[in-house]
Amino acid sequence: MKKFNTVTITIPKSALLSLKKLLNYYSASFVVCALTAISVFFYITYYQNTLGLAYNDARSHLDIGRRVVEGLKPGLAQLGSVWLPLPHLLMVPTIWNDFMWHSGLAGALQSMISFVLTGIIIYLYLRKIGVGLLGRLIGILVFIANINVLYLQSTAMTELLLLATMTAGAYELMLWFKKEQLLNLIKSSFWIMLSTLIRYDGWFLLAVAAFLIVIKTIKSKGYKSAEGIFLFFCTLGGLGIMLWLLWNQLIFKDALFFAFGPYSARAQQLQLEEAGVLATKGNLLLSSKVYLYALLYNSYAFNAVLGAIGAIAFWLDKKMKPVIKIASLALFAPFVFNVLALYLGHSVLFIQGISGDTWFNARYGIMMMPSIAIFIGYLVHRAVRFRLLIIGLIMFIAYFAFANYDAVTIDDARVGSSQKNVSEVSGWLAANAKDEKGFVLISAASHDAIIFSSGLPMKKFIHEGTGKYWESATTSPDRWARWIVMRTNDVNDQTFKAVSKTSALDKYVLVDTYPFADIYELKPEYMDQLNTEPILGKQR
Amino acid sequence: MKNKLTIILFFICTIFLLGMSVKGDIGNPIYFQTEKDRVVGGPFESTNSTSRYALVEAIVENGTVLFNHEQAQFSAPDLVSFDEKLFTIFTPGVSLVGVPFYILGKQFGLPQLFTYFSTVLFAILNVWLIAKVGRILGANLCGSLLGGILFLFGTNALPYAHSFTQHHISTSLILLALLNAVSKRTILNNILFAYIFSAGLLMDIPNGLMMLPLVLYVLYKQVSVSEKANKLLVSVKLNFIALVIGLIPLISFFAWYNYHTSGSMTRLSQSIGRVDYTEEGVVERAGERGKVDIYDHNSVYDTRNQLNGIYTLLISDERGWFYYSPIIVIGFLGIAAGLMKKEVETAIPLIISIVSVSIVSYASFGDPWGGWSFGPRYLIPATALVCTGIGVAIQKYKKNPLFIAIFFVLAVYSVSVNSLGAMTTSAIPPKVEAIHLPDPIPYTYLYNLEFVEENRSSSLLFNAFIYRFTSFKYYLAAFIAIMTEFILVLYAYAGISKKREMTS
Repeated sequence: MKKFNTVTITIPKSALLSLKKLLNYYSASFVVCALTAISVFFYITYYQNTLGLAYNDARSHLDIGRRVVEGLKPGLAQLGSVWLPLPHLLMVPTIWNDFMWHSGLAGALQSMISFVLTGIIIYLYLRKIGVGLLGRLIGILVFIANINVLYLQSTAMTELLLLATMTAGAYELMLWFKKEQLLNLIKSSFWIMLSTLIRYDGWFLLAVAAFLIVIKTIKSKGYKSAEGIFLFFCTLGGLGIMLWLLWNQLIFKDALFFAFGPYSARAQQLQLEEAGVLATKGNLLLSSKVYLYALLYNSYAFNAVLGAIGAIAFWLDKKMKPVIKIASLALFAPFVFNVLALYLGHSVLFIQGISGDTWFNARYGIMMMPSIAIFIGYLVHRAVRFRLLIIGLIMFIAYFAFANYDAVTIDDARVGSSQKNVSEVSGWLAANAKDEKGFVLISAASHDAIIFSSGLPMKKFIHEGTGKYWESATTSPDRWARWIVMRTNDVNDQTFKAVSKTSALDKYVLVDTYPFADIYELKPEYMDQLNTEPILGKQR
Repeated sequence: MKNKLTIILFFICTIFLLGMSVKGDIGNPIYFQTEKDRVVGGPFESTNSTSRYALVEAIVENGTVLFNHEQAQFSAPDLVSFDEKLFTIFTPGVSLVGVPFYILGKQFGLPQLFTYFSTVLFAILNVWLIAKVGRILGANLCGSLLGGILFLFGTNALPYAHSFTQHHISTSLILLALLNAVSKRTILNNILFAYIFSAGLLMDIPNGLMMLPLVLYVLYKQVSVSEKANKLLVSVKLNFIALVIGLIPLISFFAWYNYHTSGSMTRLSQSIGRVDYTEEGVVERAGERGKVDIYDHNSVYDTRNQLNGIYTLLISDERGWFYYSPIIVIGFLGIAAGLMKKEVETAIPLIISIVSVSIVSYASFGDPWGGWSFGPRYLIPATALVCTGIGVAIQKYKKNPLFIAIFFVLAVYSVSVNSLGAMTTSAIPPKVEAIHLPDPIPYTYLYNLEFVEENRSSSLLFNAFIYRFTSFKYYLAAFIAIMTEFILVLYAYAGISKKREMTS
């Protein structure tokens, strides 16, 4: 009777064992292939729907990279001080190509590679803390089944590169805590050094990692050893910061130009503060709330909840070595940094509903995504009785996130304050200046998106970074600039600030006025005296 | 024998107490039986009741599932217009259950009271089912019954026991499915499980999602793995065919219903969208149809809502679970205690799974408030499941003075708040609506307190008789006092009862 109502399949144990071995052996390779395919697919998707270049900052990053190799004054000095240099340096090998520049691929490529790398590090991190294959794969799934991550990896933004280097630094740090092999410490300092050259989040991670290393070494080997290890770690880890300070000193004659200069984040934040929209400054509770919201929106709220439960379970796990728990603190560094940055007024983040009706820099909330993925992976491994429930909930969340295209980063780029639709003004330039001789005088600090979107070669533009061209054109615009693009009456626009001191505007006719800039064209009667060739040379 | 007597006494008290909060007013002889008055506080104050009631009327009076103009007006805006047909936006299950009660009530001239009585019956059934699950988890008889009673009187299950909505029937079906799932997988049990599942869909589509953990568990139980020599034997019981058989009757009916309303066996009314209905006829509601931008968040569940949803459903003063029914804290304590017990290693994960799915899905839902309502009405099934842990918590901590103090504070608060809701109104607007009304009203149970101050009650017993002797304030206070006595007695009995054996 039992046989009658039951169908039985027999599987040799050896076949299962072989399959298990095969899975364990090739799982990392499989993960690399799958992540690469996903990365390429989503890059193409966002390239085709043009969202890949929706961020104003993405276009600026690409322009900075391009100016290093092409323009009226190409060279490394074009890296400037507004942003840390590594993302732009990494673009240099490919940005010379017009397609790579205008498709955004020169910048997205590093994000895509970083996406794959971060996925692999999540996998390895989980493996090294004893999580089984299922937990590791779920950890990766949480990371990749997130449209914010998939979108940012398809753009020339710096988030994914930062995530990869910071997570790699935290991973190697954990290995050093576990095994105390010097090579791990060197690797950790190397990755963290790279992160310090991407965003200031890396600087904070360097401090956190150094602190953890000192604490551990004092406890196990005493103060003297701690001093040595600290110096050893910081020599490579802090190299990037030292080089950056040196760079600022050499190029701008002020080592802290990046921090206090006119294009620094601080200067921008001061403007926002004057406008009364930097509410997080000096308000720790609001700063924590705003960043927490950004984190929850970026990671999808329940994933963050599961990650928090995973983190608690991880810390309560008596089988987990205390040193690994301490090393895992590095995974929380982005959260603390971002809250502090908001509190101290060095960062600005708008969340719709809290900071008015707009988004701005909502993508900062993505920084905890690898940590959340790691802790969820751990939770799946640990909570055996609830494994199916957790996986089911993750699937539910992922399904409806995709069904709704839920991504605050895309909303920020489409309709938030991080977007800048300059198609009208750039379209005018493309239609009217492309085949005509003459330069366009424009402030790159204010209008990089216009430069990018116009599709014109960089050497067509005279901007702040073109040395004598800029000096000459802002003194005698009618001799150098056939067109002037600027926000009239806005002294924050460097072009207007300079040109308004001359009487040259009388020689121009206002061609059109757009939301982000006005276009002036030199009157025909002054064309004779206009320089239309780069006669000052490339000034290398 | 003693146990049976206890149970009989218990249910007599429960029915009496529930009777004290039945909605209604004096009329000819009782109001709302022929009058379709949607007055605040009345049984027809919410359209999720009236739309279902209209379907009962359409079936009984007109022999159709489609509405005439009067019924359409009564149902709006929970109304769908399709192909010149007008019908309810809700699935038809609740109305079908109400049909025999309506017919019976009509004989006595009390169709509304009898129809709504169907929900009361399921509410009482839920008390018993919660006690039954509580017993499986290890609680003694009185402790488990106390779990049931606190569900019914200490949560927003009470206001909704006097509505004509899906909440109590869904709760019964989920509890029945849970009890079935942890039973032996026979052919009959499989047929019953599938039948309960399909009945759940007929009551409310999200029931399918909430029962999903049970479905997966039952399917998993059809497969067994054993080892023999160097081989692994994977056996699949053909009993699973019974699951398909059990689905057929009600799913077929559902398909037929859909075909007659939306023109397709698989198209649900909800997928078509609401319309309003005025004297002039159908009025399209803005934004209900025609969304095309893929970034417009068109899906029923949206992860973007989760943050607001979690807050609204769990802690907000508008609908928060812990704000309106903090007694569930004791339930969670019991479930946490149950986690340590190996004997209940199946039931507890299933309960936690259903509760988690409920919270995640409704937090993702665009309207976690449930419109104008009282407490987190979507979480009523989850509340029932959590309340199964109350008996376990009492069993474990019954002599701990701190526990006793916390238990009674939470119990009295929960009973008071929800009695207040049941005897006044369940139609509290979300904050965003309340503050924008021409005459703003409170968006918490402070609104219900205004009713008390104005001596306005929705209790039929009060409005018909008691108002002659005392004010509503004292009636409510007396109700809360009796409830507290009832809880005290049950707690005392639970305290002196011996730990029950691990059998159900």
